[in-house]
Amino acid sequence: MLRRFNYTGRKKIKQEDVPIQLIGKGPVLEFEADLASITKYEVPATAKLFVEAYERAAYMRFDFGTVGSISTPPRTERLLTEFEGSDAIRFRVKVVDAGHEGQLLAEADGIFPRTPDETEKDRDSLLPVRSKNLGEEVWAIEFPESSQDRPVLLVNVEVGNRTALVRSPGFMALAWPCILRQILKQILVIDEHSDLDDDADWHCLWLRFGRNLLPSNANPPNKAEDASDWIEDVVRVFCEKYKLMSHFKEVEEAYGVSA
Amino acid sequence: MAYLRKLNDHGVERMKGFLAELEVNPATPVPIDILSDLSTSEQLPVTLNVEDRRFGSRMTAAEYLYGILSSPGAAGLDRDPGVWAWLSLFYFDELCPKRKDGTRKVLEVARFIASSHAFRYYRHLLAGPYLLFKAFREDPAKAKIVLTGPLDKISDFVAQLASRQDFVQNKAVIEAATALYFNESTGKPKRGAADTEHSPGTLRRFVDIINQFEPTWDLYSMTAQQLVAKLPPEFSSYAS
Repeated sequence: MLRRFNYTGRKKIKQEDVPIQLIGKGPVLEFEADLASITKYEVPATAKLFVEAYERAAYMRFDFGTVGSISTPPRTERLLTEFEGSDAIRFRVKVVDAGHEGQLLAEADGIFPRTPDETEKDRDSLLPVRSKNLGEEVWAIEFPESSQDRPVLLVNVEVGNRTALVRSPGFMALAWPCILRQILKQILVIDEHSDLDDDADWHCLWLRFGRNLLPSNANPPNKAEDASDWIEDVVRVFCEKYKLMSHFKEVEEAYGVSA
Repeated sequence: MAYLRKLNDHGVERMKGFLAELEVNPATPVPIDILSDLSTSEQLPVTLNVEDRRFGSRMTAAEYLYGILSSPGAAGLDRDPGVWAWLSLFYFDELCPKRKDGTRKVLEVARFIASSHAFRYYRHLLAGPYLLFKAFREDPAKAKIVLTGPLDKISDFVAQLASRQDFVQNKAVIEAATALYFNESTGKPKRGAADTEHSPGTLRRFVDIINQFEPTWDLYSMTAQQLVAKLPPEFSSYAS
């Protein structure tokens, strides 16, 4: 694959600066986007603002005016009609210099909207949780295509309360170490990514999470073949920090099962 | 004619078992009983009829299925893997045709049972063309390069273009690829366009160039004609 160079200095917009919220209960949702913080990226007031929604082959684009004069389309024009029945929609926010053949000045990609049932605290989660039909699998991890996106923890749609499940002691003890190991392995061994400096890149955010867990604050190794020890250290410290075995035993002793 | 149903988890497992059995015994008969058996399939909330027919091409199949799945009351059914598994089994003879010796070759399960991975939907032999057709439903001819060909094959054009979300969501990119590489007189992709050597002007060079354009330009605001005009001279032989 050819490496992509950012010759024109396109700025990366942090996802938390452009929060997006899904609204509604029907099969067709609408959305709200708060783009007021765009101005701090020092882009021209005349630059155009677009919000794009996408999922698989489906795509919709919404014109939000300009940086200097943000113009939110009316509610009826913010209906996500192409994504009927889905809450797995992702968003991009683009700042475009319309005067230079549509040169891209700044962008935030892979934005996870807050779903109607999510709280403010859930929004910036490193690992958003979504429901999906997974057949007989209880959970799975979906890795993103874009580095600005985030991995998602998929929970089988047949599970009634996905939030309660992922926070239950049984799931915490049995699944979370595997999840952490799988994500760090994807980053360091499969994607061979060890850079920590890009605030918008999910690889960096997860590596920082791992580094900050370690008492030594040791950076991840640069070589994939050295990754295993670092990953195992992070997983061990994670289990110790959250006392996974102890909580698991408490539940087991109280109920006789790993609820 | 049959009523469209969906395979339940047990039905999907039975179908996976059948596909696995085909690997070992390529003459295994298609277990059509699971299409209607109450223990392996479920009724849908809406009554939809499907014809027992042959389509001949991805485009024809996609158009037919879009007609059915856009019926009143059918919203959301196209997200149900059980529906796609049922349809795959119903049309199995065309999706996995018998060879001259009477055997079949499965290749990969994701062609018949939709992958849960958002970026691999295109590998499903029915859901893939259906979703492309749906995205281009206002003028499907603009997506001919990813909608032509027999239903049992995933062409290089589909693999290279539909596997990339940024490409397949951008109507100008797909329309430009159709303009460059689809031969209207033969109804097929132009000869040599899918060259694997990244030769000048070919599909893989197109993918390389679009990948380089993306960090710089808002490609979604361009028309296909504007995009083709932006390509380097190596594409001129295909553009003409």
